[in-house]
Amino acid sequence: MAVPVCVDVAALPFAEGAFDAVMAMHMLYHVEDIPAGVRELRRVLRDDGTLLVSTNSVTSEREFMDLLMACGLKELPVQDARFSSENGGELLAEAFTDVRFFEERSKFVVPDPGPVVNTVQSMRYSLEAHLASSVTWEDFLFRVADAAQDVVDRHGALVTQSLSGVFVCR
Amino acid sequence: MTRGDDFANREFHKTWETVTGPVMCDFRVDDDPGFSRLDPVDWSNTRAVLDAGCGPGAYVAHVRERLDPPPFTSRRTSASSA
Repeated sequence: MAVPVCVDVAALPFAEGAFDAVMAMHMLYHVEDIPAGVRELRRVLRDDGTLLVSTNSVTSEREFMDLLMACGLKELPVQDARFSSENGGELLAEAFTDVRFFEERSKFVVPDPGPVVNTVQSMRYSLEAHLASSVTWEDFLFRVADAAQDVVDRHGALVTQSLSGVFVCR
Repeated sequence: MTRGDDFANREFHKTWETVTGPVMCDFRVDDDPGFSRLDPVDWSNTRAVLDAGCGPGAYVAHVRERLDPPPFTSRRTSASSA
């Protein structure tokens, strides 16, 4: 039985050691107080349980990010960098004695600009604040569509490398 | 309100326009969609799992598969139902 609850990860309404395993997949970079969130994940995990934490590298999807920068993004959002493949281990080691990282590499081969625009639209919450002042969100979407179409016309697809990984913590 | 606060705001989630078309993640070219990252857990010794996610729970079905393997069917049961 799966029970959905909407709570703050830094104040979980569960007893100490309530869970045999805990997962925090691609989410810790959203948390305002990351060390507090990590401590709570440790607290609700049984002593010999396992925490799985996945996140991205700060260099992931560089080709896609370069396209966004060329379309009016003045800087990359720093959200992922708050908890990344590069710095996540140090943050987790404050609450776990055994932290191991397993890198994952893949790539996206996108043959149509539509999914690129959809992806950008789904990221509006983090991107819009980083647009150049002269660029509206609608302008940005049109530019992304044109740029993605140009890449597809020239290369057959937009190809971008995905670099991520999972921390196994005990 | 900061953008980080948005995620703790239920009204934000109600009004945020959802993208329903294909996104770039649908065009991964490797065979593993990422669920092998569940393998380091000893699932045979696991009952209660917290998926502390920020989405609808893409991992739930895959965790359930590992917690609840298909029920054993005896040869006699199979024969009697044939």
